[in-house]
Amino acid sequence: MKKHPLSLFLFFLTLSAWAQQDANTILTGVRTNFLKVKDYTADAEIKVDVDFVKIPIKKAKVYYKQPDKFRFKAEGFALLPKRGANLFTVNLINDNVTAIYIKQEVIGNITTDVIKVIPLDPNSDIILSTLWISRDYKVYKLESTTKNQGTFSARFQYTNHPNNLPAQVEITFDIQKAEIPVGFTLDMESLNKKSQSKNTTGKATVKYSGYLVNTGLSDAVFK
Amino acid sequence: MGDQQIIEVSKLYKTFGRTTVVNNLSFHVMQGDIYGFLGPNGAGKSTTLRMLVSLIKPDSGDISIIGKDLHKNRPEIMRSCGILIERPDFYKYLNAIDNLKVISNSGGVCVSRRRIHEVIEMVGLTGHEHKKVKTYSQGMKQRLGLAQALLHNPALLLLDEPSNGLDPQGIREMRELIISLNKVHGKTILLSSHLLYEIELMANRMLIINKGASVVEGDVFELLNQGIYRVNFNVSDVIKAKELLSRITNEPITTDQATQTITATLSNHQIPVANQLLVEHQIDVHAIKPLRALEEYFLSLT
Amino acid sequence: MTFILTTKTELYKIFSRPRTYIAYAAILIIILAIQFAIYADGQKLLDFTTQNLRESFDFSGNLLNGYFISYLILNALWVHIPLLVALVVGDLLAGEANMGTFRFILTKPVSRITLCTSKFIAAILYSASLIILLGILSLALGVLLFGSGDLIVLRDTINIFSEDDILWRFILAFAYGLLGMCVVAALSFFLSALSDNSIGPIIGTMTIIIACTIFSSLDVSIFHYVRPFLFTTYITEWRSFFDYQIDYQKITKASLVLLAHIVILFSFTIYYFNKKDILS
Repeated sequence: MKKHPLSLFLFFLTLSAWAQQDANTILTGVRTNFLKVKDYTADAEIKVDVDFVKIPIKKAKVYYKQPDKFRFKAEGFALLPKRGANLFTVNLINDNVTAIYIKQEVIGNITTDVIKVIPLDPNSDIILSTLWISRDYKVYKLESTTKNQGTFSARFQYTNHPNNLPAQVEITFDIQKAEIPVGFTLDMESLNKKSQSKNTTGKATVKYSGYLVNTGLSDAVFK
Repeated sequence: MGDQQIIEVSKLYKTFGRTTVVNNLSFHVMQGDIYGFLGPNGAGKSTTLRMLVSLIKPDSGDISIIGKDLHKNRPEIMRSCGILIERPDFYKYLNAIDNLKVISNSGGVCVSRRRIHEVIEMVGLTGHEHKKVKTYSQGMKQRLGLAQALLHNPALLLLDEPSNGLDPQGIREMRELIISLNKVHGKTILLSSHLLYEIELMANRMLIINKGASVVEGDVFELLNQGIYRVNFNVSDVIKAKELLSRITNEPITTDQATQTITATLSNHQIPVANQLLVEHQIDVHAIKPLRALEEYFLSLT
Repeated sequence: MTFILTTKTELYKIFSRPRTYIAYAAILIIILAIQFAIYADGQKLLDFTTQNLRESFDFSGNLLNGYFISYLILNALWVHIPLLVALVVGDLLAGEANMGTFRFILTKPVSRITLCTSKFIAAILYSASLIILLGILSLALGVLLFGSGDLIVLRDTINIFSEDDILWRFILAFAYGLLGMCVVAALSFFLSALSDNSIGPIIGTMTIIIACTIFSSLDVSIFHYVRPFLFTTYITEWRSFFDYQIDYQKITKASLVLLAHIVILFSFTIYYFNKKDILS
C-alpha cells in the first residue's frame, strides 16, 4: 500500500486533536473530583527538611474551603510550604489553562498520564506545570516553574479516601538561604564562617489523616 | 611580774627593697608586763609589730609568742592575742556591733551579743553602738579598735598608739583601762606610743629602738633612775640659789627671774642634797619638778 | 565549722554593701528595658530575620514570646554581667586593703588561705545569685509578659525548638554561663589581690575580657595560636545548647578549659596573697 502524505498528516492531526481533547478531559475529571469537596478539615504532620532551618515535626490542623481558602493551625510554631501542600489551591485545575497531553508514565505501579499545563492568566505566578494523573483522576505528581520563586514539585500518595484526598504530600522547592544578621545574635563565631550558597533546595513532607469533608466550615476559621 | 616569757623576738631582720627597716632586733616581754615600745618616726616600730602579728613576714629571725613559734602555730597564738595596729579602720557601712561581729566571725571566732556589749561598755562607747562607723570620730574609732582587741578576752594585747586621737579625758580613761586590764585582769600588754609621759606612767618595762635596731631595753624605773635629771627649783632667791647649787654640780645651771625658777642637772641622790642646801641658807623652796624624765632620756638616746 | 562561719561572714559583707544591690538593680533595669523594646518592636525584628522564609512558607504560631526574648537578653548581656561580677568581686580583697580592715581580719586565728577561699566561695555564690536573678527575670518575667511558645534561635541555621524542648536548654545554658562568670570572678579576684584599690581590678577585668574577646573572635592568623588558651574562646559555648545536634564533647572540653582557668587563677591568688606583706 502506498503511503499517502495526506493520510499521514490527517492521522497525526486526528491523533493530536484526540490527544488535546484527552488532556482537557483528564483535567476536567480531576476538576470534577475537586469540586465534590466543598470543604475539609484534616490532621497534618509536617516535616520540613531545609539545610538552614531546623524544626521538629509539627502537628497541625488544616482547613480548606472552596474555592481557595486554606489555613493551618499548629501547636506552637510551624512552617508549611506555600505551594504544593494543598493541590486544591494550586490553581491549575481550572478552565483558564492550556493543557497538552505528553505521554503515559508509570509511577510506582500506577499508570499515569503526563500533562503539561500552561496558565493563561497573566497574573498567575506559575509559568508552566507538569501533572502526572492516574486513570481515576488522582494527581500523583506535580512539577511547576514559577516566575519568581524557582521551581517546586510535589508527590502525592493516596489511601482509599472516597474524595481522592491525599494521605501524604512530599514537596521539593527552591529556597533562598536566609541571611542572619550577626548584630541580631551577637554570635561572633558566625562572622568567621564562610557563607554557603545563596540558593538551595528544600523539602517538606505533610501527612494527612482524619479528614472531615463537607462539614460546612465557617469563614471565621480562616480569619 | 611573771617569770614566763610571753614574747621572745630574736635577731629579726626586714628589708624593703634596699632599705633595712628592722636590723637584728631582739627583745622579750615577760608575762604580766606592760611593755613600752618606743622609737622615733621611721624607727621600725610598726614594721616590728606587724611582724609580730604576721601581717609582714620577716626576712630572718625568730618570733615566739606564749612559748610557741609564730610561723608554725599562728592560729593558736592569734587566739591568745588582741591586736590593734595603727589607726583602726572599719566597715563604714556597718554599725559598731555589726563591725565587731563581722571582724570576730571573719577570724572564725563566734562571740555573743552579751560580750559585744560588755566590751563596748568597757571602752566607753555605750549609746553609740548602733550608729554606722562612718559617723564616728577618730577617738571613737580608737575605742572601737580596742574593743575588737578585747572581744575574745585574750591574755596578750598588742596595742599600737592606743590613745591616738583621744582628748585628754579619753587619754586618761584609756590609760586607766590599760592599767586595769593589766593589774586586775592579768593581761600582758605590749604598747607603742608617742606619748612618752603615758608610757612612763603605764609601762614597767620598755624597749627603745632607732633605725630598726634596739637601743636599750629594760625596767623603766631602773633605766630612768640610772640617769641624770634636769630639775626645776622654784625658789625665793634665784641668784643665791644658783651660787649654792654650783657647789654640788658642774653642769650648767639656768635661771629665770620672771618665774623665779632655777634649772640644774642633778643625779637622783643629788636632789635632796640640793634641797637641804637651799633650805639651810634660808632660801624658800616652793617646788621641785623633774623635767619629763622619759622624754629627756629618750631624746638623749635617739 | 570555721570555714562555714568565715564564708557566711564574707557573704554578709557582700550583701551589706549598697553596690551589690546596684548590680541587681542594673540587671532588673536592663532586662525591663530590653523587654519593653522588644514589646514595641520585636515583631518587626522577627519579620526581618524570617523574611526569606516567608517567601517559601506560611507561618502558624507566634515566635515573639518570653523564651525568644530571654535568648536575646542572654546574648545582649555578655559585657554587662561580667562587669557586675567584677564590680563586687574586684573589691573583695582590694577593698579590705583600701579600708584598712586587713589589720583586723588577718590578725585573727584563721589562715590567709582559709580567708581567701571563703571570700572566693562567697564570690562564686554572689555570681550565681546574679545568674539566677537573670534567669528568673528574663524567663519568668518574659513568659509572664509575653507568654510561652516555641523558640527560634538564629545560629548558623535557623533553629526552632518546641516549647517542651526549651527549658532544659536554658537551664544548662545558665549553668554553663555561671561557669563562665566564675572565670570572670576568679580573674577579678586575682587582680583584687594585687591591688589596694578596687577600681584597678574592675577596669583590669573588663579590659582583659574585651581584649581577649577580640583575640578570640577576629579571624587573624596571628591570633590562632593564642585562641585555644583564652577563656573568652569558650565562654560563649552556652549557645551550643541551642543547636539541634548538641556537641557534648565540645561543651565538655570547653567546660574543662574554663575550670582550668578558675583553678589556675585561684591558685595564683592564694600563692600571692599568702606571701604578701600587708602594709595597708
